[in-house]
Amino acid sequence: MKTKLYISIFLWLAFIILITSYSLKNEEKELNAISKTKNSVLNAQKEYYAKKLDDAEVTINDNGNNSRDRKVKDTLEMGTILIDSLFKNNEIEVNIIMPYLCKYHNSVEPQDDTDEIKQCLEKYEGNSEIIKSIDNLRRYQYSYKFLYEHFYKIDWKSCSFDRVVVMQSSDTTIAFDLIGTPNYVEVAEKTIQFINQKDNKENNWSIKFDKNSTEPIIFQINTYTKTDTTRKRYQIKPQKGKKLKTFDYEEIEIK
Amino acid sequence: MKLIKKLNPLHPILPAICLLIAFAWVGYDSFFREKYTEEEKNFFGSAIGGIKNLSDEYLSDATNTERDLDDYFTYEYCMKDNYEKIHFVSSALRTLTSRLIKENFINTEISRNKEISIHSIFNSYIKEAIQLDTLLAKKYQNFELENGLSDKEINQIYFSHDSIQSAYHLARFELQLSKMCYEDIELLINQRVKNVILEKIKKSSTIPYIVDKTGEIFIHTTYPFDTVYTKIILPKGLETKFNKKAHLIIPSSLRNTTTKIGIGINCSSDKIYFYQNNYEN
Repeated sequence: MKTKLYISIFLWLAFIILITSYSLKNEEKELNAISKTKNSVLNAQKEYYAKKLDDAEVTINDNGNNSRDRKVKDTLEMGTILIDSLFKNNEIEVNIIMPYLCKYHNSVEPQDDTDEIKQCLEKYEGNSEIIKSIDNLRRYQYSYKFLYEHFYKIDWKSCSFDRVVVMQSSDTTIAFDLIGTPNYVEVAEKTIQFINQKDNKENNWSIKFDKNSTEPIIFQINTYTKTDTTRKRYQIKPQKGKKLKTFDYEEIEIK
Repeated sequence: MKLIKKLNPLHPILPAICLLIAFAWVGYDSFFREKYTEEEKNFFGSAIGGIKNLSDEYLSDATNTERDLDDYFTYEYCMKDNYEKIHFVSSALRTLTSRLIKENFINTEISRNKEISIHSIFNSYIKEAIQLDTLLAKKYQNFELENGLSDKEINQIYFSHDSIQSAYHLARFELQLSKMCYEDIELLINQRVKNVILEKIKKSSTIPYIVDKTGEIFIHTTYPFDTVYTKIILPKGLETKFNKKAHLIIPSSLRNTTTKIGIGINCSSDKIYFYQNNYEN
């Protein structure tokens, strides 16, 4: 009798262990694996679009801060912040994000992709924990996809002409000059200004002096990098009836 | 009565039956039961589509990054070989990645009985990549896939569940391969072209010049010559000299408006510039 009781207890234990280990552990393992894959995809996604925003910034700087491009880039940036914040709170839902995406989409190129967007952003309302765990990332990815589809509208292609030329760099030397610079080169901002007379200029890269005056002209070139500002001052001594040559100036000390 | 007695929970027959049913359920659940409804399968399919989209974008950007590389200073700083090598390596890496994706990730049937050899896919890529460029050889010296998990462990963690779940994980490995290809091309472009040029043009100088005719002063930026490969080739027999900025010194005899100066850059593909002095302003 006792033997039967022990066998019975042993079998019940085996039954309970089998059921709990299968139902709990299996799901836990699956959720763990899904979470690892999700994180890996999320990182790749974030890296990809962070780079796109950087590229957009470079393109805009290269093209002289065109207001249309700047507007598109600002929209991308705002959209990115909106999607990221909704993703964190698991709130990426059609009704929240749709007005933004549709407005953006249709503002550039009229097209009716509302249904496609709606379908991709539809939220899973079922009970499966596994699908719940992939769904937020899925909608996040599609939101980004729709948002960035128009990035290419501001993509800039360079012209193919000879961009390197040789030109005089002083009375006695010549050097290379470049028509435009590659977009990966950080170009320091440069300005030129008069020191001893009133500036009457339309841009930062040239100044106009009074040709009839014989008073010395002092001007300064400022170079601004991210970390440093350098200033160099020059003096021109015009003489009555004498034409100025290209490099008729001398560098003077800044007091 | 006898049967009721036997169904007493303390009698072994009842737990034995339960255990048998449980085993049968586990077997059915593991091998035969459809885990997801059609609607749920669609959500999963869409999630896999999202990963594959990203993977395609990485691969297509790998092509664009190389195609859009502006060939500045190709000849002036002897960069032609670097550009050509980039185009060759980039094309080889993209072709290899596309082939590996086609062979291993598209229409791959996932079954519990067949182990997917993720390591061999990545090893095939790395094996070819390290032969293409020493920088890639260095990068992949201590490469560890999935924190050093073996194929058996990877299969157990990611591919031993429902087939649609396994497809989700498989799409992630496809994305990882596309991303690797993109990052390798980007690394080579940065190291073999961009950084080389940046180093050379670091010594640029800003120079003012006067235009007397209009009464204006402008600024322009000048870049140094490569002092090893640049020579004055016309007029013949003249000595080539550079100042501290690596600007070419024009000998006194050539400082007039009639002489044409020929500047040759002697790289693998020679480039010649002609310059006519313009001292009249």
